[in-house]
Amino acid sequence: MNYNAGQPTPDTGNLQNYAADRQTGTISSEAAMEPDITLAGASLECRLRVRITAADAYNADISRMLCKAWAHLHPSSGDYLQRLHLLLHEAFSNALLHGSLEVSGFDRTSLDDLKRQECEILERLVQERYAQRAITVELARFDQSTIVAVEDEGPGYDDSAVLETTRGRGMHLIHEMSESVSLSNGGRRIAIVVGIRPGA
Amino acid sequence: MEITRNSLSDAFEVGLNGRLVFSENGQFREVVEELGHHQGKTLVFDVSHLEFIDSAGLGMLLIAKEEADKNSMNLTVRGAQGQVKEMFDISCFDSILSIE
Repeated sequence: MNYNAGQPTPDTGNLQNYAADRQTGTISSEAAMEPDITLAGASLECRLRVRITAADAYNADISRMLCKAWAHLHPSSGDYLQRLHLLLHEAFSNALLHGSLEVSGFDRTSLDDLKRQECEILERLVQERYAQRAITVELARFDQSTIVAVEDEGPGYDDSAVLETTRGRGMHLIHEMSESVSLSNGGRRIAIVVGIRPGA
Repeated sequence: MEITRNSLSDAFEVGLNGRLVFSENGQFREVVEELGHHQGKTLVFDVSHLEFIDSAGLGMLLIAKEEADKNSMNLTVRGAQGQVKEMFDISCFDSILSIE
């Protein structure tokens, strides 16, 4: 991870082991799918971009590490960072478990479903086809909001169906706690506007 | 996540510490699978030291509720604060579980 000289170095822990870099130009091709919510317009020092494989992401708390890094770059209130953390976590979990690893059935609630899901995840984490899929996270700070964008390399899914029925509790929460949500690239990319409330 | 257990005459108290997210489901499942040994008691989840819960964690609590019902146990969740309390509020969990 490369930071400009003179800028604070975030406490990113293991994040430095991953293929991560500060955004220094236009949005990369994976993310440039004409989303309804775009990161374009944020100044370069207000953007952060991380790319990680599903295999590396599963046992790492990426959303917390990213939020810590973001808090160093853009100090905000605890409440705001807590909301940002949860939204990033839910979007990232969807990209990892549903998108990259293609595990389904999280809406069902039984002990047997939990066991089956964990077995499927562990099986797929050792299959290159799933494990090497990358997840890209981008954060951009604007005057009145932060935009969180997460994109995976899975098969995608029907955008309209997802927005109408939601993708389980995670998507419900994302809609409840954010100002705006858009899906693009066949459902592989989600962009979330997290509004900055007074005092945040 | 660290889980503590305290078996009393009328209650099975389980302390959840840290983060309740999908990757912790193995530990959580172990607790739920033990409920058959505590039939008829009250199952208490003490979440006062739980720092973070996500949608998968909420789902796991619902699974515990289902298994508690099967074992004639009442389920109470105690001590929610901060992000955990906010998640319960947003999800209207007080209409599903007994929240203290």
